[in-house]
Amino acid sequence: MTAGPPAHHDGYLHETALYDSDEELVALVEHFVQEGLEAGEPTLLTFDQPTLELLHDAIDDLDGVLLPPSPGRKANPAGALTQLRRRFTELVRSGATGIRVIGDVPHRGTGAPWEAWLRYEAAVNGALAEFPLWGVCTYDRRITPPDVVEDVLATHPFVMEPEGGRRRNGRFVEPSAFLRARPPGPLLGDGDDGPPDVDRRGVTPAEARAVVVAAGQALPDDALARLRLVVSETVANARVHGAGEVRLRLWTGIDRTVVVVSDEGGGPADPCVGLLPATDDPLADGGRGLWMAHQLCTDISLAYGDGFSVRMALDART
Amino acid sequence: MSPSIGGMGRAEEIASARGCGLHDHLCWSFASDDELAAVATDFLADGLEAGLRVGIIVPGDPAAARARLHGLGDVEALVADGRLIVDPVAERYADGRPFVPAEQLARCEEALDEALADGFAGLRIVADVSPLVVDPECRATFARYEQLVGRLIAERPFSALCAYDRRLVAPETLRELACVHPLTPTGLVPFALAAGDGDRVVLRGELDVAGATLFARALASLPDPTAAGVPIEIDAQGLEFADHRALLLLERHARDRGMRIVVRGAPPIVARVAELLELPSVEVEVAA
Repeated sequence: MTAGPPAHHDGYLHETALYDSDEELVALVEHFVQEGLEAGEPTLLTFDQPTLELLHDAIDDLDGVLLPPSPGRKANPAGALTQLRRRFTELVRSGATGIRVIGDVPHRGTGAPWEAWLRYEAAVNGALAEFPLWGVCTYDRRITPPDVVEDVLATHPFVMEPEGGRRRNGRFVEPSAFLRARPPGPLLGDGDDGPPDVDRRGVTPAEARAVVVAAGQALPDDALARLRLVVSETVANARVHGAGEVRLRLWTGIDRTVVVVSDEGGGPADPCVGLLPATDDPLADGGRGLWMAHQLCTDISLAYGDGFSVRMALDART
Repeated sequence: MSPSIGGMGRAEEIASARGCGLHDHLCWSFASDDELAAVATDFLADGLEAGLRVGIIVPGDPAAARARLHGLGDVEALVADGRLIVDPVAERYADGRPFVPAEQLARCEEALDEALADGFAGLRIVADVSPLVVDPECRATFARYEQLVGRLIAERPFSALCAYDRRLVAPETLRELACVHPLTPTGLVPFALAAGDGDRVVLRGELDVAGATLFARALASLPDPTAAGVPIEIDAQGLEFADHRALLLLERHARDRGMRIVVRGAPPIVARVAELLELPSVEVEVAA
């Protein structure tokens, strides 16, 4: 039913499959896994626990399949990407010439922050390009909001057809351009954000920390500590790498506190920065502040245009 | 509770030099002879009461310094009794010769042993060594010496106030030397990294990008582990903030010296960042 990667395809084949029923998903996964076993290719499943159980019940040979080390369903995109790259590197090093991955990606319909996972979907096109990888990102159309489906189509070069076969996706947008052009959504949720509760210009990291602590008294200790850290790191970045005045704005919502740190510069050249550490060298100077923020925030997005800003949200219950 | 170094001596920001203990190591700055005399009197008066031999070491004429210490009582009698020493820097420190930390430390210890042999409970010193640190080249060496003194202070009944003359010493030098003292005047430096007894080190305050160079220099001033394979133990109960750069600096320091660092009593968020960074040579434990 599904076609393997074309023989001449090099590197990462990033494909999406939209399904409308459990049966469809089972058939899809079964064929994918079967082919992988026959080809001697390691296969990873990245579904959540309930879906994995469904698949285990329905498919016989699933035990022969590799699962990624369990990040738990609260895994953040940056953590997931780092772990996948590490896993793929190990597999290639131990001789794999083809790797398969299939799984659901979290989104608003599954209760996850979509902006962060969308950036992940855009970023993997580049971040996983070096691996001999066939990755299928599955989305359950029954619970996926239409705007998310639009975004999914914009970030996957290939779409799997229901009857098998594959089409090159005409709606794919080059990831860098897609992310740069994406308008920032509301910060506090669906409603209008209103003016910030705090608006400071020309802040130092120490001043920023004091602002966060003063404003974040309603947050649990762990969430407040995380917010304080990521804001300090982001302000430090803005002062070191950014240009002009560094501005901090903070909104306190019912269950969520949002901080936007902006500077007047053009922002990082690569809008996917932060999803991976800037460098693999553990001792290289800096370059990990934004990656930290991606790991520790509930949701995070970057916005270009009229300067550059990093928008960070911490939920009270994270 | 102020974090302590192996149970001895305080580590915090202070507003005065009064009420200091047997194992306290302070940094202070001044811009007039009277200012120095006032803080010295505060520090030494308590020492006299505690049965310590006390002393002050100054660059200029000791007689002038003696005259300003009248707040301690009958200065001439104190000197005659051996309870108070007032000496020039030239006599107590290497005059004209290059400053060698280990040698100077030995002189400190000799003076302490003498005080104990003479029946005192210990030794307490105010030292104005500003002329020795005016040259920026001397900064790093002197900081290393301060750490060795810090260890002696933590291990034996020796307490010291290191006074720096703001008229002579550049602000950057003052900050660099201040941050290797467990006790510093409020607001002078964002953190302190000071050697305690054995392989223990106390770390308090906030570590961010603004203080990164200062922190790197403070790390460079730390003594080596007492034996090969022994980790440096950092008491971080007083650590209020650390960004990822600070943890990378710890890793680099440990890696460059072929040793390990264990950080104890750190805030949970610091342990979390360390976990994400996966540092091979640094282990971070959370406060119990």
